[in-house]
Amino acid sequence: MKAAAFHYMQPKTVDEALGCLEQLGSDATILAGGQSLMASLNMRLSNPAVLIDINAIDELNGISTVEGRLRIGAMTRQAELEYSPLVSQHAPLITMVMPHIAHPAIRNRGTIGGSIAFADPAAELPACLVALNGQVVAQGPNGERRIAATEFFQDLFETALTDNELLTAIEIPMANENQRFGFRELARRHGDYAMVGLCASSDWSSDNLTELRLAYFNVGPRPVLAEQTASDICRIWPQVRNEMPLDQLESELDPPDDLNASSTMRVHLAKVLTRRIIEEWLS
Amino acid sequence: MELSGEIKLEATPDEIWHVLNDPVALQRCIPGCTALEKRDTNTFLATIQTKIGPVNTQFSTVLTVIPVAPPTHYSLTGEGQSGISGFAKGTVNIELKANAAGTLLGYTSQVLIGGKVAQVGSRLLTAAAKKWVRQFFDSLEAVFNEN
Repeated sequence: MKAAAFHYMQPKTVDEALGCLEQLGSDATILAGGQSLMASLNMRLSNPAVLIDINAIDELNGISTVEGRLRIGAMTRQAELEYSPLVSQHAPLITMVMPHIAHPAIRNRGTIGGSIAFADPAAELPACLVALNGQVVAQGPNGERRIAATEFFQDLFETALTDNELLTAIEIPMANENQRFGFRELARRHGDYAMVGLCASSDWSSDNLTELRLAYFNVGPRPVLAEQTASDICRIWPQVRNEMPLDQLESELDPPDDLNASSTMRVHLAKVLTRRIIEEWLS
Repeated sequence: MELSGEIKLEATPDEIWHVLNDPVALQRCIPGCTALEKRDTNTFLATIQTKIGPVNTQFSTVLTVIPVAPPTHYSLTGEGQSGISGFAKGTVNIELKANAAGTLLGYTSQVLIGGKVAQVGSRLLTAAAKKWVRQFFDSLEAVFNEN
């Protein structure tokens, strides 16, 4: 199918884009990489009056380091993250996650900002940002603000962004040598949305495991940080191999049933993934 | 799919019953309900706008209120059509139990969604329905907290 008719705008700067948003409000939809939006337009499931294409805004591209943080411009393509030496050095979890996001052709067009702003509960990058304790940088008519990933994802496809704001970058604290990262997901076929996935980060120095962040995806309307389970694991570290304390996951996760897996099966799989990541760290 | 739950309300079953039968209050509680008019004693015509991520759908819905056993058992049935996008059908059974703090409202609901929306968004349906039901009861709670 083809999309229904819409108006099209192509601002060249962030200020121009903000002007468009201010003028149009909720009638407009931002077009980033288009890997989710174009499909829903062509299926006629969404019919925005105006598309604001931000692909021509050069200032939204690029990866850099700023004061202990890795800054990734919103329009940086996923494929670029996948092969970036800066990313693998300062945010190795993103490098681990990348090959699992859909397929190469999609990653060539898909952007990090698009994936974060869209906030699909089954997507890898939102959970990755939560696990890394990252921040979203948004620009609006009153200037720039930073939103912690844990606050940013609010509900099913709902974020803290307002109608007149543009997501301009993602910032992640740079990794240090004590940190451990892990990523696992289970999908029926490679490239499908996972039935359950887990992005994990922690600090492991002098026999103590601290700052463990377990961010699960596709187990609820948004990425879920299992804080109780994380603190249970840290408390008995490193004696976790035989008896991993994962029972709290049953109350911390409340995944929906769907065609691929029941809720109970998803919780079970979440435990399996957690165990695999922890065992990988211990080995 | 089936969804169920319980909420506590600081009101008597009679007061809750009244709200559930009042078109103005009902419209406030139904998420995305842009218009609601009474057709006859037990049926309402509602326009419901839903937006789940990229999917924006408007349903024209016939709502039927069945007073199973006033004022403690109540049933609400809705059947909505949205042109080429699909259809939605749902029933919510509500049971009101008075207790010291107010009323315990228990609900069970069956929701059926079909057509293109369901075909494309099947992986999100339960999450979307849960959110919708949660919003309905949050709004109901807000109605009583204001009074």
